[in-house]
Amino acid sequence: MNQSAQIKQTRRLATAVLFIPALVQFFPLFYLICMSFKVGGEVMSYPPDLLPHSLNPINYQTAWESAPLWRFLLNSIVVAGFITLLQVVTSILAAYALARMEFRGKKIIFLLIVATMMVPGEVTIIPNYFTLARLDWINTFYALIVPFSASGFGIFLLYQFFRTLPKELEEAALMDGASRLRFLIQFVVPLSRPAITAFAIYAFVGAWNQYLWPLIVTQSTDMQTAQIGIGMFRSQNESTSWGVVMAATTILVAPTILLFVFTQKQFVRGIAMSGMKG
Amino acid sequence: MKAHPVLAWILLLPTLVILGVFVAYPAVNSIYLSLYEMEPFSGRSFFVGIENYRDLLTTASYWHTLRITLWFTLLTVIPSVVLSLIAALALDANPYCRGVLRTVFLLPVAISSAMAAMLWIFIYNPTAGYLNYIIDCFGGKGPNWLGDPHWALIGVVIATVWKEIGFNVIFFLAGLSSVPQELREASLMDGANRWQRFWHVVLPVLSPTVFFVMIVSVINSLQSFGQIHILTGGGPAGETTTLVYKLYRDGFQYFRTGYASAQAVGLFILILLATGVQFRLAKRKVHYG
Repeated sequence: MNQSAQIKQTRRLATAVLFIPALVQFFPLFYLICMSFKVGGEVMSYPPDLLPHSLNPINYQTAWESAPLWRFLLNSIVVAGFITLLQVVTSILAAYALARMEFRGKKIIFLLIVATMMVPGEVTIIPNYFTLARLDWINTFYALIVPFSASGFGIFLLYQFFRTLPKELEEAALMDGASRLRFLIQFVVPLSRPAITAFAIYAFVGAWNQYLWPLIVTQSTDMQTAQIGIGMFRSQNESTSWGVVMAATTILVAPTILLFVFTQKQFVRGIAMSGMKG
Repeated sequence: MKAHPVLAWILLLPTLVILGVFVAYPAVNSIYLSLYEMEPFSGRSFFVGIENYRDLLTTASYWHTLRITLWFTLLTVIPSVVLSLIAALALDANPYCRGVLRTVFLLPVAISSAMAAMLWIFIYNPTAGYLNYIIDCFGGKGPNWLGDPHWALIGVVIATVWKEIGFNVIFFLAGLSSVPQELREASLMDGANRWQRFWHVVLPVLSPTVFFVMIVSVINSLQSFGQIHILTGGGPAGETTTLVYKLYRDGFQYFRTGYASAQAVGLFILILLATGVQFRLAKRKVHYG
């Protein structure tokens, strides 16, 4: 068999290998959307029809009216947005100090910060709950945001990136009388855009997907994030209508899916990059 | 260059405060708490030494939970790594079907484990769910997936694998893009067949990625919570209660703080051990080019 024939055959094989798994992989999402349009006896009919009988949006209306879905989404945006912003800022500052400045105790501080990456979140939840209770922060945005406003991983990632910038750049800028902070903002941050974006995406995804911690520290509906809200919504409505539950799920999962589809390139690069460096 | 110790410490301050208060202190404090037991109503605590640990290690239910966690980890990590490696190889080999097919495989990345559970929950419905309908079409009779102690863990595993594939494919595609084209072409000239090429050319270059994905997957699996909470709530009959789930229940539903803290320490040790063992194995197998 000659080379190009083998390449062609490999491609055909690849398409065949992928087609069925792709259908399987896509099915749950497709099924969710189908279910969200099913009303009344349609939901529990057997044998089940995959497609709904009509595209009646009544389930969406019911879901929207029976729980503050917009509030869940808003809470998630606020929490994930602030966590990302704070992690990016604190990590840039700390990574800059560690990568480009000399001071006593630097090595040990760096090691301690890296060591925090080893501590799984589950290990810290009980003491953290007590700390927040003492601060009277339970069921507030502070509880959802502040404990995650710094990141050992972010510092480690940016530290590696900052170190690769040439020393001469800094010397020239400082010679011109620029202050350290101005140099950081005017040169280091723009030059490190790819690494910072990658980390921001990683941080946002992590914050958006949090489950255990928001479950523990939120008590009222108006503080719940999308992840927690959907669980509550389901336990309240599953006995009455799965169609409405699926409509609510669709509403809550749609924003991140659309965001992903439209920013796929940056998204994938961000995740891959933060993974490879970490 | 001049030293700027004061500015450096100012830049580090926010990080040190946050990581100190919310990571370092609680990590140490967990050990301290694990040596105490708290009275549920008065909130008074008293020193019990290693009693909580002895309690854990001598109750059958803890060992059972540990066994479930290890099974869950094994059953999610191996299929999700193997399947996503195959998917990534196929996606990488065919430049024409990248667009839509690639998006389909990566899509679960945009879906949290809680939402993934919501996507799967009705598929598992014993009377009207599609999974049992498909099994029925082939003449079988599907179980009550999430309600049957023998099947519930498998149900959670399938939904988890489905979700994990997205992330893994991203990493494998990134890793594959670093296999030099000349290397593959050279092996074609040598007349290597597809399997030989994968085994001797692609896999060695990809081995650091495989190792990385394995470590991350194992850690993620050991920490899984959202999908379990939504799909089964740890049941039926405790058959999907993992270590993290038990910790949550003992700590935040039964308020046995000391007992739960001992579990937190145990979980920490387990994750360190799992990572350490993998690093040990990787030393022999991973090829850093």
